[in-house]
This record gives sequence, structure tokens and C-alpha cells, in this order.
Amino acid sequence: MLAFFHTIVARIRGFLRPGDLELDFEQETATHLEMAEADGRRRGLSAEEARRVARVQLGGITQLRESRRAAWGLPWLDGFALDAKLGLRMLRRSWGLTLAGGLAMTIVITIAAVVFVFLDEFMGRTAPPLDQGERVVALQSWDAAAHRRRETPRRDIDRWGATLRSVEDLGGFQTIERRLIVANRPADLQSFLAQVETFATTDYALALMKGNELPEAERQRIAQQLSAYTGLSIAYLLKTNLRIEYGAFQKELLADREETVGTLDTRFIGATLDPIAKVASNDPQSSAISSAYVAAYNDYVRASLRYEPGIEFKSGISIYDSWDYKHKPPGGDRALIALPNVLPDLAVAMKQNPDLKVMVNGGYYDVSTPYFAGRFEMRHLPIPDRLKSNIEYRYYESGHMVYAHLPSLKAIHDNVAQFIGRTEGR
Amino acid sequence: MSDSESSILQGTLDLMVLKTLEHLGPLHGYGIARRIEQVGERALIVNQGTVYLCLVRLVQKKWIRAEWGVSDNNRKAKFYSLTKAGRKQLQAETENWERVAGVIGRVLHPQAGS
Repeated sequence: MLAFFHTIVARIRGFLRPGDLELDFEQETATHLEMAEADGRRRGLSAEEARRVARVQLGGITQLRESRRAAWGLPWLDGFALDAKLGLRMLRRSWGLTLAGGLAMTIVITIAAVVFVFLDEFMGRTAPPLDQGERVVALQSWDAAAHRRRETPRRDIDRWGATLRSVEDLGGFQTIERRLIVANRPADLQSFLAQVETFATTDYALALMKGNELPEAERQRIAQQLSAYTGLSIAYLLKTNLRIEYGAFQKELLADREETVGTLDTRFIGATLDPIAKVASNDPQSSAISSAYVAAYNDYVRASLRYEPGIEFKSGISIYDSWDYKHKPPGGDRALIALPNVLPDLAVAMKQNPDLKVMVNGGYYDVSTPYFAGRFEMRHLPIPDRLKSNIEYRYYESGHMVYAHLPSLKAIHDNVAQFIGRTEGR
Repeated sequence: MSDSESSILQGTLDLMVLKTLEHLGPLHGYGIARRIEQVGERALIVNQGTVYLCLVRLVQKKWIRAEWGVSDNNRKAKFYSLTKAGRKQLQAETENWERVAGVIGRVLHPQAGS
């Protein structure tokens, strides 16, 4: 009621002082367009395109001005005065015709009202409210193509959801063909990984640091060893100057079969989209299991959580163009525009809170965030020795999505639960 | 967006604007429109002009106040902020919305025992 009173007062004020509001509108609209245009320029649009997009997004300015004028003032007072003036003038000129017209309009409006009530009653019926104990068991819709009713029982979706244990139930796995030719290869994975890590941090790292000064014989030896460890051909590694670009391993390993290895999980293999590309342009892991995520997520949030009915959930959105990469490192005086490195932040947090425990989890078959990269980064964390024991590592024979492998799913669950239990309340 | 979705939007735009101001503090019209677009994604395509009409309505009801100020980029901009009455209204409208959404959710997604 109070709000209604305030609105009336504001409208009368607007009616009496329209000039101030017009000026306000022009200034505010100009600011809005400037901001929207600047945003467009930041997204990479040309000045002209950014201006055009800004205007389109705001909508018709003339229409907006009119709507705003109507919202501020008392438009009905203007309209009523005009209608009354025209009506009186018409009545004075030919009163018979005016009365006949008025009567005809009254009859037409009455008929239209009756027809509307009739149609609304018989055609626009709403679902009956549910009584105590009643519940909806199926949704009925009209199948226009088949020209018949279609019924979707609620239980079908419930059953499907109940049988889903993990995405592994829906994803199809393949095993990479073993192409590694390593002499005296240790039987267990951990020993083998230790051997490869040593090579990566010693001979291989030194060879890369030497650049063009690397002697040819050494180049050949490194290429041979790198080939044995990665499965990539010696010729390919020599051509790339011993460097393996992101996405190149996935594209090249099974290139002769025109197959691409997964990035998030190398256990997945799929057809190569572009056989002559340098790096993988698709991730067979996503092709294999993303649909399961989408279906399971939709079912969970809509059926179990009943969250935001009617909203479309996307499996992925492009955020990199508009991502704010600015990050102010600890001790820095300004935010830097660069790929942010948050490890110094972690180091500061660990120093300030010596009880802070860190758990690193990863999958051996992940080449997007490789398992050893985690260890490597942690080894370079600027923290005193006594805090090193606060970091623990858990790796699994799975990919980036560790849980896409049932035994690993169980293991990561137990490990994380145990970690929380151990560190809780400290 | 269909007509029915648009009409839902019209009825809830006030609520979204009030919530945005509560969440982000004083903000100009462009910031409010962008925030609603970002949160709503494609499901809620808001004509930015309609946000200004909504702001007029809310100022008239004294649920928000408007003041000229200077934006981050040194532009003269009108900043809107929530009033005490607006905060109270937001609470009432939020409760009402959650109650209605809950009822509709239960009708559309019934489960045993509920």
C-alpha cells in the first residue's frame, strides 16, 4: 500500500517536471551504450560492431524513451483528456451517429466477453489441483507426428537413475596397444614410473636446455629413449626437435591407424577428426562419457534435487575468451595479466598456517594435467622442509576424471574421506 | 524464448534486480543487466531496456534509490542501491517465490513419500 502511494507521488512529480527526467534518461542511456560498447571492444569486436551490438542489446531507444516516459508520468491523464475532448466534439456535431456507435460498441464488447469466458472454460482448462495423498505418476503429451497421446511414466526415469553406479557403466573403454619398447622394463608400474621420472628430470631436461648446442649423437640417443618411453617414433621426435607439444602425443601415438588417444584419459581411443593436423582436435574421452554426465546430472538435479525447473544446464561453456586472468601474487603490488600461478598463494597459506594439510590426487592416464606435473610443481613450492610432510599424494590407474574407473572411484572416496577425517578440527 | 517464458520473466524481473543489488551492492543499470544475463544465461534473454523500466518502477516504490556517481572507468553513471523497504520486499518476494516454485516442483516431479 505504501509502495502504491509512493508510486503515485513519484508519477505526479514526473508529470510536473518531465524535463529533468528526460535529461536523466538521455545521460543514463548514453552511459549504458558507452559501457556496453567498451565491453564489446574488450571481447574483440570492432568499434562499429561493438556499437551495433550495444544498441541491439539495449533495444529500441525511441520505444524505451516512450515506455519510460509513460512509467514516470501520468499518461492516462493526457489520454483521457484527449478522448473526452474528441468525444464531446463528435457528440456536438452529430449526436445520433455518436450514440449509435457507442451502443454498437457496447454490444460487440459484451459478445466478445461472453465468447471469451466460454472458450476459457472449455478449451483453456488447467490441471486439477492434487488432493491429499494424490501424486502425478505420468506426464501425458500430444504427439503431433503420430497424431496420438503419448504417456511417459515417471518410474522409467527413476529406474534408469537407480541402476547407474558410475559413468563406467555407460562409457566404453579400450586399451592402448602397448608400443613401448623398453629394455629391462620393471614389472611393477611404480618402479617403471620412477625410471621415466629420472630420465625426464635428468638426461631429457638437460638435452632440452642445451638447445642447438646439443651434439647430434646425444640428440639421437635422447630421441631413442624418448621413443621407447612414449611410443612415438624416433623420426617424429627428431622432426619436433625432441619437443612434444600439448595435444601432439594424443594425435601422433596411433596416427598410422588414424586414431586419436584421449587427453583427459588415454584409455579412450577414437577416430581422428583431422588426420593431417599437428595436434589432437578432439578428445575421445569426452565423446565416450560426456553424454553420461549430462544425463546423470540432469536426472539428479531435476528429479532428486528438484533444482531450477525449466533451466537448461550446459555440459560446457566457452569461458576462455572472457575469463579474467588477472591475479595478484602474494606480496605483489598489482594484479598481473598472465596465466595465473597460484602455487605461491598455496605456499603463503601453508606458511601462515603450518597445520594446513594438502592432498594431491591424480590419474596416471591423464595427459591434460599429467600426474608428474603435480609432483614437479609441489617440489618447487617455496616452503621450508618441515612443511613438506604436510603434502601427500594419491595416484590412481585412471584419468583426469578419476572416478571413471570403478576401483579408483572407491579408492579416491576412501582416501579423501580418510584425509578429511584425519585433518578435521585440527 | 516463448511468450510464456517472457511473461514469467516480467513477473520476476523486480525480484532479480532486488536480489542483484543485495548481492553486489550499489550498481549501475548496465551492471545489473549484465549480471542478470550472466546468471540467467540463455534461459533468460533480458532486453536490457526492460531493466531500466523495472528500475523506474522500483525507484517509484522506494524499494531502491538512485544516485549519480562515477563508474570504475570514470564515467558518470547512475547507481542504484537497495533501501530498507526494498530489503524487506526482497525477503517477502523471495519467500513467496520459493513457496510457489516448491509447489510447482512437487507437482511436476513427484516422488514416493513426498
